[in-house]
Amino acid sequence: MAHAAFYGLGAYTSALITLHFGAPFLLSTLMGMMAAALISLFISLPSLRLHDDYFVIATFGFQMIIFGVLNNWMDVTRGPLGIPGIPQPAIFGWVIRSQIGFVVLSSLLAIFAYSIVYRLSASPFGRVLRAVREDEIFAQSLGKNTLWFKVLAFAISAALAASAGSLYAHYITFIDPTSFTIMESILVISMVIIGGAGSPWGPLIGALILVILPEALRFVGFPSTVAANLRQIIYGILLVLMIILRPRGLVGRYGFGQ
Amino acid sequence: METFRCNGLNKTFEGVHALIGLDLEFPTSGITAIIGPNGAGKTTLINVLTGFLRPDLGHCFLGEHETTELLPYQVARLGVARTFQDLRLIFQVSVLDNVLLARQHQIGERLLGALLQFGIANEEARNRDAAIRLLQFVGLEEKINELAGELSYGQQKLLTLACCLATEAKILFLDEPVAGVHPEMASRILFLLRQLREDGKLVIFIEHNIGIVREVADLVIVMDAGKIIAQGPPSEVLERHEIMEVYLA
Amino acid sequence: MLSQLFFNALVTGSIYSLVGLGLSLILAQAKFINFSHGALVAVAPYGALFFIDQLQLNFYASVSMGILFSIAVGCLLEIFIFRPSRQANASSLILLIVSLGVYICIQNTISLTFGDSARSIRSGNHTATLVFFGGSLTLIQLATIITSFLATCCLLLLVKKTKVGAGMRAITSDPELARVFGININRIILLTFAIGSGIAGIAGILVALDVDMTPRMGMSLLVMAMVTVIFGGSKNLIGVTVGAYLLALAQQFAVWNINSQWQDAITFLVLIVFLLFKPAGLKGLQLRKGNI
Repeated sequence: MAHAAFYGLGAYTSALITLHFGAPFLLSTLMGMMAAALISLFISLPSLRLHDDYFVIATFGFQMIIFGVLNNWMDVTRGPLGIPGIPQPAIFGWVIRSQIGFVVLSSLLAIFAYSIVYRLSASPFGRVLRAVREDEIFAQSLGKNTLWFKVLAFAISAALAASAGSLYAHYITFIDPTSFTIMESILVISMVIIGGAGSPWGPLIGALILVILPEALRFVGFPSTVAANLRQIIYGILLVLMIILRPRGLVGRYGFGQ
Repeated sequence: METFRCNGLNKTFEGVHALIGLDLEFPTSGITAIIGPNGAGKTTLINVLTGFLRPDLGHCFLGEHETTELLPYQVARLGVARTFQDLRLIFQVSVLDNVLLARQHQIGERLLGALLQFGIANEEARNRDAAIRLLQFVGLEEKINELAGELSYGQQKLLTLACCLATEAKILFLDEPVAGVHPEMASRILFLLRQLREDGKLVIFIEHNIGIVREVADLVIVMDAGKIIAQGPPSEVLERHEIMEVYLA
Repeated sequence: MLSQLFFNALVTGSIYSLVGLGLSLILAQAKFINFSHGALVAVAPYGALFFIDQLQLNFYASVSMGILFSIAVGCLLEIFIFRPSRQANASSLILLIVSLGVYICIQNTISLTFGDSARSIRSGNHTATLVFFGGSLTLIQLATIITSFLATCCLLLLVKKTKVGAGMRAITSDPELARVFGININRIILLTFAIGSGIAGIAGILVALDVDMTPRMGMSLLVMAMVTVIFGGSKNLIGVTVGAYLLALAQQFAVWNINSQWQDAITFLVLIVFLLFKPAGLKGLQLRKGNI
């Protein structure tokens, strides 16, 4: 439930670094990712020992804290005023301004993220992670420090979320805390559940569905406030239906204990 | 080889005294059987010794190391492997993957190792060879690529044994290794245990079948209601009527 | 100043306690964290609003209908969504996610129907204020404290002294055993949902009468309620109540000493610190996993 928090941390950290230090996009993104990974330790170390449900609450709490920080730390984040005027991404001197440019950039970043995830998944590291998921006690009996693996997985996911945040910040060139609320976390969770967890294609498919949906709604011609609520209702219904009828999602391999 | 011992172990759950003032020193090798009626505390003892439960009182030692407060993975890394009463495996992956999981000191399991992949191919190849040899040893070489969940119960028990061996542990705790399996499979497992004894390992197993205990065990420990009421060679312990009565009562 | 702080804490704590008790009961019986509980808090006042606006019903009738509506929705959710899921062996995580989806649907339906801005059901003649010991309380706030106290007492009586309560305690500690003893688990869980939704609805009405209502009011209360459940443990009603008041007190102190906007952040910091050092809850709860 804290995914939006890391997304936001990545956005703010890289935006601030680009603005105040004139760093190039890739460097700021990297710093954002490292910051998110480090900060994730504050929540993962204490909470990963907890039972599933309580871990969810802890991440919920963490999300609220980070939102609180982003919204109240006027000196650094300018709170609700947000941070305007973020420079567009500069990669080795090349500034990306056009839509096509952004499509290419985000696709490349996505491919990079995917290749990291794939490589980890196919390695012995991934083997242990799968074991921890299926039977943590068995994994422990084989000498695996399961807590550490979970902390690492959490940190990696935080870093990836942060990289997305950085891209977002440099694309929209303005960020404020309202883009990084619990609703965004729930949206991401929905994407994973609908598309399917435990498979590399799941989140991609889930994202496609949940992003295309509101665009489709706009075509139908609802006024924007109605559309926003309707969209969320559809997300809610999809989420409930999916998790009940097909917890593995469309193409996933993990049923959340089902 | 270091001795595994404990003294003064006490463990209570929800009002039940599972272990009461237990003192024990295991031999350095061979096959030891722990017997006793249900609820005697046998599995609890194993859970405490392997780090899955923390005792309320008492200490455990492996050689010079105190293991009382260690987490399960730490105890495992000291060379202590175990199986579980309710068979535990990763059923969704292959037999080979389960055994590969059990291999120790893999660079590929570290984050940097997995990302940079330096030398992993060699390590994986070596581990694969070792895993295949182990699977041949237990007799599962035909099933290497099948999902663990598709094996028969007896074959799954063999697999758990293979995983224990893959860790290269010197001490193995087996919780009812032949319960629920065909006599033929049971013989195979017992044969393997004898092999392990020849290799100088220490095998400690919980068992209900007195015949099996008589057949393979060098030492028998009898537990009842959280205490050890007798220990010694089978020929001695199993003849004593009062012990057998407690056991059968 | 101090007494005002104390009074504020009493009021807020009462609300947290009402919501937390329901959540805790559902957690103990149905064994999952029910996010939709937050939506039920909002359902009652908005239901009352509907009856007042559209059906021109008088204040008291509307409020009652609002609460009944909350109870009805809660029961319907249990019958049509949670019970079938339970019977299909859904894990507690799946139920949690389902309840999250339900929350989203309900909250957005309310937004769609009534809009996102604050609405009111105050009827104007309940603004009398009492002043004593240096602090002031409105009539509504006093009613809140009294209601919460009564609700806690009634619940405690129910759980400890009645046959139904014994059933609840049995289900809390061992559902399989309870089934063997012939206890009708589904019926008792339905009752739990009814009671929980009812007091959540009452909490919603009280808050609406104090500070008006928005569709999101349930989420913030739910979050606080979750904190109280963690403090108190799901098996311990008194712990939840005590946790609720302590939480409210801590928040008031934070508001007094630090900028009030950091309030939420402080609450959660306290929660996380608490989880670090005392994960068994105030009176004992299996939070850590890893036992075989």
